[in-house]
Order: sequence, then structure tokens, then C-alpha cells
Amino acid sequence: MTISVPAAQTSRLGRRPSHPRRPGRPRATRVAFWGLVGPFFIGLLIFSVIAIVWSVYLSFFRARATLTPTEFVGLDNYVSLLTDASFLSSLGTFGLFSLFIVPTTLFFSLALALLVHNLPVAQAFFRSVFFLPTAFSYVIASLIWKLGIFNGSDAGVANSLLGILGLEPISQWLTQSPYYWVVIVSVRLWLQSGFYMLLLIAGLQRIPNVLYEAAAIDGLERGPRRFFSITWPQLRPTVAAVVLLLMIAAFQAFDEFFNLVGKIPSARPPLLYVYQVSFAQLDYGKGAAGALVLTAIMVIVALVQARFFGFGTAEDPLGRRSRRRGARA
Amino acid sequence: MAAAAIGATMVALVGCSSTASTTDGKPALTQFYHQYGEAGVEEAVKEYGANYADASVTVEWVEGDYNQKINALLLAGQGIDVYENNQIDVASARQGLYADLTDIVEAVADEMAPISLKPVAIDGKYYGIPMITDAQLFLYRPSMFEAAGVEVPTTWDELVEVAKKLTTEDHKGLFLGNDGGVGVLAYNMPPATGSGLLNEDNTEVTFNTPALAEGMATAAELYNSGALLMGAPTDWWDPTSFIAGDAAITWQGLWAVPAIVDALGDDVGAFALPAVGSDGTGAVAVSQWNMQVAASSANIEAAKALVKAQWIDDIEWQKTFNVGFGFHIPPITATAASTPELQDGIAKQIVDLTGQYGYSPGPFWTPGMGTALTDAVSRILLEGADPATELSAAADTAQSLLDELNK
Repeated sequence: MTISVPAAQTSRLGRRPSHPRRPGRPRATRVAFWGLVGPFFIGLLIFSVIAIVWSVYLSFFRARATLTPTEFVGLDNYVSLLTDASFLSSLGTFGLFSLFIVPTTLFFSLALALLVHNLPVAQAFFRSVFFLPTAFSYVIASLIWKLGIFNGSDAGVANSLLGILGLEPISQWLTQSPYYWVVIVSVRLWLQSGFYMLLLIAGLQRIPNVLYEAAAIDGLERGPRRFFSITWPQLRPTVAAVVLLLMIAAFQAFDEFFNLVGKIPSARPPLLYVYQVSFAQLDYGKGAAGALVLTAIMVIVALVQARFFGFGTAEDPLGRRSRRRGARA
Repeated sequence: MAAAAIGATMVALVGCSSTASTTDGKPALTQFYHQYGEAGVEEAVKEYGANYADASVTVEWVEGDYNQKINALLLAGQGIDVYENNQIDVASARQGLYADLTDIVEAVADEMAPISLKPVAIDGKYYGIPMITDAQLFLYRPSMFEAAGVEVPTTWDELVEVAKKLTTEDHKGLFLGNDGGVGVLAYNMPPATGSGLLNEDNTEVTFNTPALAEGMATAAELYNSGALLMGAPTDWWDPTSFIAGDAAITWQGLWAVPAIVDALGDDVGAFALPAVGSDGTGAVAVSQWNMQVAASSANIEAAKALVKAQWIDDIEWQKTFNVGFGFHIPPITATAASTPELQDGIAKQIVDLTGQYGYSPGPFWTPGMGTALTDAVSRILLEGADPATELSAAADTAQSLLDELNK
């Protein structure tokens, strides 16, 4: 007669369990885990966690030219920041900038994604070609735009094109509105559209072909109606993610503005303002307050967007949207 | 978040402590320089460091944002002993980040031009040794003046008219920088009104005057006149556009004189920014690099000995550094007077104009005040904003920053 022994008892007796259970990690695995994750974890701790906590601390102190301040000033840095006309105007300008650049980049990226997705041949080639600018340095791209394309001489690329069209050359590309917005928006579209195109192509590939086949049977083979009835609703989660990322990118704008129009107050992003307060004026308390206010704005924007546009929601196969927690229940 | 990133950097840097001495028993010093544009400077400073007998000097040649790098190291309190600085900061001095060099500088203060001492003097102490003085003013092409039948202007309004007359199909009248003159005029028109940026006691902002508002209105007219060179491949501090004949007058620094004389011979003259308003005076911008010692240095006496030997005692080195690459004015007046390259031609003319009209706001004029003023001038010139309103708002902002500094 054989007696079956429960695994737990076997284990207590010091023998190996006879079937899988949640094992204690062997020493070698633990070493490998911390060897691989440890450096990243330490980096995260030093450069993110401590940095954020330190920022909060600094924002309540008078911290001019010191990171270990002693004079507690309560909310003074926040009051000073939120009553500073320069900061408020940069927030206003970049609110408007976001309202323009987000849909524009989305439109370009979506147009590119649809074009590439529907190509009968060489999809991978064109995907790579349009994605390549994403790998480009913002600083170098800014210099190419500044020195090569939009320089003020008649020989600049933009002015040459204007000459071909019989128009006068423009010498104030980087000083005069609206010219500098043309420069900024074009360099930003070139740098960013490819990345968002890739996300949208991934979204397009997720759409089941059966939907298009069913539509074709009903007589809807192509055209805007097919796009707005099938493609757009199915892309909604991807578009919501792209819009959120674009909003964050717009409020984090720095490199191209710093290099192209850094001294023009009407085109100064909030992040550049915070940078100047912190690193030119050495007022780390007010700078930290500015960074936290910007973070708060981005969090609020993300939450509002999630509420109204559905980022963070899951779709069931029938296309009904529901909150993730609700979906699990 | 940005400020805290420096804090995190500081933590990382604490691990990189510099050694107090080398194996041969000499104190170890690290000396920082920014990237000078002129060829040969890097080799020269590294050679000086290698040949210095009383310490083992490692020269760090910093490309990119120099001021941020030294500010981060000073905050970290590690890895920096001796460094040059063109933005000596009152708050940093009061936080004790800079070593007090009063004992070294006071002994030779009488031998230095007073304007050279202004950027290093805070609260009755000297926190740096002036290394080179840079002068900025207008350079012009006499041949183009002759062709247009115009004379050197003596007032701001005359300059605006002359710039328009000098503009032809081949070249513009005036190059004030690719920003349309915002930076140059914001810092230099206030001294040309006679009011300057701050009062002598550094307690009041003084630039907000009717004369400056009227001058700025004329500057806006100049910006829109088509007489300004803009969108040039390089900015005003590089003489390429002026040498190429793209503008008859340019704002320029003394440092560019060797290249300009090489290219144009004696077809170049100089004049100060002309008087703005009836109480105005000429203005020549004076900026300066200074050698400092970090208060956190482990070898502070050796560091002070190095800066004294190099920037006070070694006259030949100072001459080489000031005129061997680009041209600058040695801050010690006897050294400047005995430097042959500055004794004739356009260089002497610039040195004389600097002595007569030189203006430096000093360390109490901070980058924050500068941003408030340049923002106002930007809106006046580029967007047509009302000069009086903008200057008044900028003065209020600058005054509150000054009051905060003087608390």
C-alpha cells in the first residue's frame, strides 16, 4: 500500500516537494536579480526619488546658491512663482502652443501612419525612413534649422524657396512672430511625427480585418465613412495615449526653444523659465517650486484627459469601454 | 526637479573626492577654464599648469555650459580648487562658496583699473583676481562711411540715421546681433543715458528713465527700418560678417581685432555707443574673466599661491594671455601700458575709449535682473510694445530682485 504524503508535510521533512510550488529563490538567482536590477534601482533612488523629495524640501526654503538651505519660507517660493508675470505668460503661451501642436502632430503622424500602413510594398523601409528623425538630436536638428534652412541670408533654404515663388526673403525667421513659430513647429514635426506614427501603426495593426470585411459586405469599402466608422473608433485607445504623450512633450519643450528662440519672452517654455531661475539666477527654491508646479499641471492634465478621452481604459472585443478595475470585476 | 537634479549630482560627486597631494608630495590642484574661441589658449594654459613648480596642476578645459559646471562643483564642495569665472555671484559669495582673496588683491588694488575690481568686490572683500578685461563697442568701415558721405555719429539718433544711409543693396548699415539688437541695447543703452543699471551703492535700479524710453522707441524704429543685418551665419561676437562686408558698422569685442586687422588692414575704426538723450554719454561695455579659489579646496593655500603667481606676479604670462591669441586688456594698468600690441592703431583706440567710457554694472546686477530688462527690450523692439510701460515693469521686477539680494 502506498501512502500519499501532502507536499507541505514532505517539505517539513526536508525533502523536495513532489510538485511545483512557489519556490524560495536560489542564491544565484537573487544575485543575478540584484546584479541586473540593482544599478537601475540605485540610479532611480538617487536621480529620481531623492531628487523629487529634495525638490519638495527646497521649494519651502530660501535656497539661493545652496542646496542645504536653513531659512524656511513656507509657501513664499510658490507665491513668488505664481505672481510672476513671466511664468504665468509662459504657461499661457504654452497652453495655446499645446492646443496647436498636439492636434497638428497627431494629424501628421496619423496621415503618415495611414499612408505607410496601406502601402502594398516597402512598408518596413518607409516606416524606418519616417522614424529615423526620432533618433536625431534636438540640438543638432535645431542648428540645422537655424543655420541651414531658416538662416536670414538669401542663400538659406527657406529664403531660396521664397525666391523661387517670387517672394521677398525673410531675415527675421528667429526673431519675429509668426516666423519663429514656423521654424519651431516644423522642426518639432520633423523630429516627433515618426515616433507617433509608429505607435499609430501598431494601433492600426490591432484592428481586426474582419471588421473591414464585414463593412465591405455591407457596401462600405473605402472612404472617410469607413475611416470614421471603423478605424478611428478602434484607434481610440492609441490616440488617447498619443495625445497624452504629446501634451507632456509640449509642456516639457526645451531643447529646440533654448537653441532657437531662447531669449524671446513670448516663446519661452515654462521649463526654460524654471531652468533660468534655477541655473542662471541660482534660486533653487523657486526653481524647485516651478518644477513641482509644472509636474502638478501635467498630472492634472493627464487625469482630466483620462476622464474625458479615455486613456487608461480597456476595450472589450465588442468595443465597449470600461475602467480597468471595472473590467476585472 | 531641475534643481534637485543638481542635488543628486552633488551626491554622486561626493564620491569623487580629489586627493590633497600627489605621490611627489606636491599639493594637487584642479584648475578650470572655459573654452576660449581663439586657437592656442588651451595648449598655453595646460603648459602653464604642467610647468608650475609648487603644485601638481591638472587643467580642466570645459566645453559647453561652463558656468553650470563650476556652480555644480562649488555646490558639491568637491573636485574643484581654482577656476575662472565671469559671473561672480553675490549669493554664492555670501554662502561661502568662494575663498576670500582680499589679502592677495588688496596689495595690488591700486595698480588695477577700478572698473576691473568692480566685478570681484562684494561686501568689502575681493573674491577673484581679474585676468582679462574685454571691451565691446562699435567698429566701422571708414571706406563705407566715405562712400555714403557720413560721419561718425555722436548721438544715438545720429547713429540710427547713419545706419539707414549706409544701407545699400550690397550691405546693411549696422549689425547689432541676430536678435535685432535686443541683448546689446538692453545692457548698453542704460549706461549711454548716463543713468546706468544700478546706483553706486547697489541699492537702487536706475535704468528706468524717459531718455531710455525715447532711445528704445528710436531703436524699435531702427529694427523696422531694414538697416539692420539679421540672420547672419554667426552672431556679432564673430567678425566673419563684418569682414565679409555684410555690414558697415558692427558691435564687436576687442578680442576680434587681430582677425579684423589681418583681413581689412586699416579700413576699420571704433566708436563708443553714442549718447542717448541730452544727459547721455558714450558707453563701452566692459566684461571680465576672473580667477577664483573654491572655499572647499583641500589645498586652499596652495591654490591661492597659484592664482597669485599666475595672475598677479607673472607679468609676461599675463601679457601673453591677453594679447597672444585674441586681444584683451590686462587689468593691471602698468601691464596694459607696457603691452606693445595695445599701443597703436585700432587696438589703442579701443583701449582709450574703454578708459574713457567703460561701464560694468558689477556683481549686484544679476542674471534675473538681466532677463527682466532684455525681456522688456525684446517686447519693445520685436513686438512694438510701449517702451515706458515695459521699462517701468522691468525696473519693478529688477528692484524686487535687488531688494531680495540685499535682505
